[in-house]
Amino acid sequence: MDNMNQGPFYFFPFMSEHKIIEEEKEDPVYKEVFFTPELTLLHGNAFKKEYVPYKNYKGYIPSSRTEEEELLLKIQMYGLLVHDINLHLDIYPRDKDVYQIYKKYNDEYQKLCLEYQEKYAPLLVKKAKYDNRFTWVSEKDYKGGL
Amino acid sequence: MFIYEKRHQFPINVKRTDVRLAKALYAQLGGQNGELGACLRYFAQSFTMPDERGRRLLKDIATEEMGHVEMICTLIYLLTKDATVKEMKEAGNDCSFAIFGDGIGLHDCAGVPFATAGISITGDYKADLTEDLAAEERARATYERLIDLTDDPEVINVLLFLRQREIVHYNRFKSLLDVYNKENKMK
Repeated sequence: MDNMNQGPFYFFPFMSEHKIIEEEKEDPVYKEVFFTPELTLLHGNAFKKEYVPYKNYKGYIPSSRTEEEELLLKIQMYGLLVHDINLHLDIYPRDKDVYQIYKKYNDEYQKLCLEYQEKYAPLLVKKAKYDNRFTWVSEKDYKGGL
Repeated sequence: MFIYEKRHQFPINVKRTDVRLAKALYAQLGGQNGELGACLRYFAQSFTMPDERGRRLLKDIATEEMGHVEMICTLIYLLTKDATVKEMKEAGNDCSFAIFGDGIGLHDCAGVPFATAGISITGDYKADLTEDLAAEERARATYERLIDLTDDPEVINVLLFLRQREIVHYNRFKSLLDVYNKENKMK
């Protein structure tokens, strides 16, 4: 019956505030130009100089309660960082320094997605792992989510 | 082509019911500066960009805007799904409720159906990109007003994120226009 009250698994009821524990990255170029993946999601952008706060409002990252939520949150962090760098590279495809960073974090992002899809559920229909049933339609959704 | 990814760009966690707030959020769904219009604007304009850089940037941003449509729809849905008929009436949502029920209607906060009339496409990259700059600023201003109208910290959190994305898109369009202008001058 619990499933009746839950949305699809991609918006979990996150409870409180996520604590930012990740250290700043070692790479000095990275540190100067980009937020860490966590701070990227918190601020909504990857390039430090582009962040413009509104009044005194401060965002927060909801904290995860399970390992599944934690992993999904990481996917959102790395996904946004990679996406924001992607938009920059669209205009400056020959920017080698940024491309190096793109490659590094995209690898990380792909690994996280693979791990999530192996352990929990597919994010893309064609990446759904084979099972005795079609796993794109998750059991949770099917039983009465949305 | 487009591939659907079963996750949001930013986590959404809204548990309370607030029809009035949901009504205001329709501004960013079917409103003239809303996400749906933004998505279609960049998608259509991308075809006449001078080169691959412009085409890729506009399609990538259009795709992200579609994700924002999903996020706004999710917010509206979560804020209204448990509303009683009484709550709908109290929020002055009678007409919308009669037509759409709990469904997500494609209209703005005043109930005006989504229209493409406000989406300007000229086939001229300078005019189009300048329009995009203005569109992003209008969307940013709308988000700021929505944040002012909201007292739910969870909704504000999502709106702050979406507002910052508009700023990033503005910067990217600006860079692209600057690059094109510079290269044209050199010719």
